[in-house]
Amino acid sequence: MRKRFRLRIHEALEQMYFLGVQSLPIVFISLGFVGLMMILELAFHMRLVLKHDALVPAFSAVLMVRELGPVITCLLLTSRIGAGIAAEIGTMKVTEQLDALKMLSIDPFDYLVVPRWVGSVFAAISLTVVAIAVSLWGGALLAIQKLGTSSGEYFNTVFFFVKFPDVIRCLLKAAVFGTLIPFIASYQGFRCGTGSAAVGEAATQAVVRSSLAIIVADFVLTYLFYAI
Amino acid sequence: MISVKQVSKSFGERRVLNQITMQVAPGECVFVLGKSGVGKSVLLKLMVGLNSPESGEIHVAGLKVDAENSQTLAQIRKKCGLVFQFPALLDSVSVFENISFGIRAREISVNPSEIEAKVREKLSLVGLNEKVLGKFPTELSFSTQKRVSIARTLAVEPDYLLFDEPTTGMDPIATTGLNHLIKKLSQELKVTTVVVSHDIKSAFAVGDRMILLDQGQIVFEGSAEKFKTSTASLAKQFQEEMF
Repeated sequence: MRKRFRLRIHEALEQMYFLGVQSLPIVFISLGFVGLMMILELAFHMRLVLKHDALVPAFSAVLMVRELGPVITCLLLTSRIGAGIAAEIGTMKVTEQLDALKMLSIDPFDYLVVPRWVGSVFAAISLTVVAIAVSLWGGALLAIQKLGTSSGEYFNTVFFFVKFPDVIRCLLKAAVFGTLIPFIASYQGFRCGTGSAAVGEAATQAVVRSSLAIIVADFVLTYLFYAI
Repeated sequence: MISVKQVSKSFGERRVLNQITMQVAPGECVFVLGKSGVGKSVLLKLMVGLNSPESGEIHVAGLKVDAENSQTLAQIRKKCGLVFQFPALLDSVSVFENISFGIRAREISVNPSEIEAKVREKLSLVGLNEKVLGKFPTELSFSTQKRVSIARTLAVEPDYLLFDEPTTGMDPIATTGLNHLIKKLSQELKVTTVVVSHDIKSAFAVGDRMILLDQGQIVFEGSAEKFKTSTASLAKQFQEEMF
């Protein structure tokens, strides 16, 4: 049974940069547009059902913090890094680099998985914060333009409805999703067969299974946080 | 000493090694010969626990190779160096880092200047100069990658050196240089060496003893002189290749 693992600081910092900082543009653009889309959709439905749209900022912010922020960010992160991790480790297995590490007394788990885990959790949490901020700002701009809300009114409503525990739970979700991605992707890489087709299959499976795991874990966490 | 007792290994329905028994004495250089796919590389990997045998036992330096016992396995691997058939260099780091990794991991040296000196020494042993130190493996030719991989293995100063097809993809000059190096390590430093190959010329030039594998079994075991007169059909085919 495994008792401890070693954190390689240099590799972890590299992964934090690669997984976190380099994923910023895709998260920035995607979540910005999600924020805009939510304002439009919620405004349409609230006008249809409730005949007014005063609570659109509040609902969109709550939905973003509690669900869409961490989930969409980590699904994007999965598509960007999950396949990469699985393909990299799979290729290392096929080309005997994993065996070479073992022969040099370097544990492949310590060298490959732990830094990616640290990098991925860092990326998931920080990108979720950025994603929520971007979507709220995007939503604010559209709400001011389309709904005639003032910026003060928009953010007052948002901060009234979004509570501090919601933020903590949101970050916890991000941390869990950020853990699932590298572990599932690394597992796919380590169990990769031989040949380039097997590496491709490992990469595909990493994205599919990580995405599924995130969606299932989101339900479980939401249930634990809000339904019990 | 490396001791292999009644070792068998199958992949699916195919039995690759069948009740293999062999020994390699300290300081000895043994060539394991055979056609491609006969299980030579598998035998090497079994010796360092990268694969597990179905039956039989392997002992290295008196320690039983057991994939389940990670502590003993770590001890065995610290004594061994394995040069893979393909270079197996970590392609995300430079040549310097590839060679120095093992030195740091095994704590052979922690002083950066000592580590650098060791890396340069091992690199010159395999006929490379410091120009390649900052390069990444993908920037090097296959032959140079292979030499870097040998330097990486030598850098951890193993008592047991295992080579998997060391001369594959190398030019004749590099092959001769590598043969001299294996001989030197075996004779001067008393490193116990097992070379898996189908390069019969290298086997004659370097090996103290030869083992010929065919259909999962040892069909010949003995000196180069004895090999020349062997009547085993596969040995005869190898002799024709040589003479």
